[in-house]
Amino acid sequence: MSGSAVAVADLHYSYPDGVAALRGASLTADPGEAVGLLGPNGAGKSTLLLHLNGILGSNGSVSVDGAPLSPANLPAIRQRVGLVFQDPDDQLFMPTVFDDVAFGPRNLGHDSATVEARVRSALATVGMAGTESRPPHHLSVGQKKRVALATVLVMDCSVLVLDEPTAGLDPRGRREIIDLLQSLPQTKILATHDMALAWELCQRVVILDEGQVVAAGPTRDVLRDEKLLAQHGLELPALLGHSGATGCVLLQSAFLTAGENWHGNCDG
Amino acid sequence: MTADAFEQYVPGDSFLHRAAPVVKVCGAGAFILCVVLCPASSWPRSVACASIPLLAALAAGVPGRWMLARVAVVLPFVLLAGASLPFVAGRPGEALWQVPGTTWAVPLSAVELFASILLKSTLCVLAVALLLATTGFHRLLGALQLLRVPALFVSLLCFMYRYLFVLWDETVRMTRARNARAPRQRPLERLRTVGHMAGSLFLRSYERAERVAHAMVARGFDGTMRLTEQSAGSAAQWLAVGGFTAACAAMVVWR
Repeated sequence: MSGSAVAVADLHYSYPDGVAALRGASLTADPGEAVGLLGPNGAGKSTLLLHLNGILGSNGSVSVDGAPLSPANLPAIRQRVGLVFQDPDDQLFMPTVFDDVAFGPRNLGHDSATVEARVRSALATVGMAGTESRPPHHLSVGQKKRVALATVLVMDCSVLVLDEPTAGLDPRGRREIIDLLQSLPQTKILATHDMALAWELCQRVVILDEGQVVAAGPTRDVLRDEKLLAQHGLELPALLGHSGATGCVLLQSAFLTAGENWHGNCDG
Repeated sequence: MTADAFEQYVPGDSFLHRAAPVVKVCGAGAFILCVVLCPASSWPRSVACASIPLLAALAAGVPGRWMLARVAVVLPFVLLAGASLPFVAGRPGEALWQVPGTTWAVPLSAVELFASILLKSTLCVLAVALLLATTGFHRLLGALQLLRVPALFVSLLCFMYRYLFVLWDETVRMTRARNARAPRQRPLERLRTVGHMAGSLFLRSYERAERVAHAMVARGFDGTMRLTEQSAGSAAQWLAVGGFTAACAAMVVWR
């Protein structure tokens, strides 16, 4: 699809043991858009993300900013698509924060002055300036997640692909990551089980189940469909429940008595 | 829950801390060669060798307790290797001590050899510990790269250092989970559980290695590990380490 930041069409992928992970999955994201990829465990979300910068290859097509994924333009696409893994200990493999954030720009062949300037700028963007010489194992999970984000922002990518960006974080760490993601102008595709995150951050969501896209549309339309969510092993968190009578999503506060639910976000 | 026990850097601002890592690696290498090549029976030389790391540690402000803890890690291996010497290395007729009621005697030369091995290995460990304490592991890797140590070997050391902490944390978590569910296992059962835990740890590490490889490829890894370039050292530093190496060589060849 021309004009899309990311266009994935009819992806099929089976793991070496024969398990089919993707069975004709398709996805698009417009420039600057945030798209949530929802689905139960084993739906194929992470496998789909690994296709977006050519780590896994299969039948079907992937294009980024109109350029199809091919061996010839793989380096350019890997620069454009920044992939952030769920476990920051997988993403941060170098002995210091500086070396880790510098890993990508060094592979792109930048000189050391440019690398240093980029690393400092990326770390400042994620609020981790001053941690350059620290080893990753001295950081908290929230700090590791921020540095992991810096490792791809430093590549000057136009698309951020995030696997469970809020997993394992305490409420403050989660809030900081959400605010940070909201402040970034890049196109975002994020696989998550955090429905409140999808509600807050994504303009559109796609539900993937058994390797196929089973629903796609504006976040607030899809997430209001209680039956659809239940069919695919999803549900809104208790504080973000449904009201059968009004069809609105309610923000229920534990501090309000029953029947005093605050009707928020009814207009989407 | 991180394994701070593996942390080797002791912050400071001594001349050893400030010296370029590559210069320090060469100095430590020269010292280790000198210790290994010095004749076992020359005690004045041994004393001179022993004073070098001790004075250097004093100058760098590395605590004695810290140094002893590093030596303690390798001591059991040295003792194990040395324990067999009295049985194999003796010459007849030079017994230091006759075991009462037996014909077996501890030969003097074997005891000397054992003491020499103990001293030499302790000094080598002290030199490496001091190098790490004043350099830090990641800067040491940069120095090895500068010395053209094979890239694959440097990459292996780099990953080993990074994931030692992750693996240790996983081991601690698994051990806690085991203790929570089986606080009083019999030794044999415990051994079996440890076997399962080791297998599980291996599988988890294997899967993690695959994910790490994906993360590297995603950021343009082409097979070359590019670490922060380390300083090549000033002329004065090279002159100093050159003098030190010459002194070490003189100690080896002096008769």
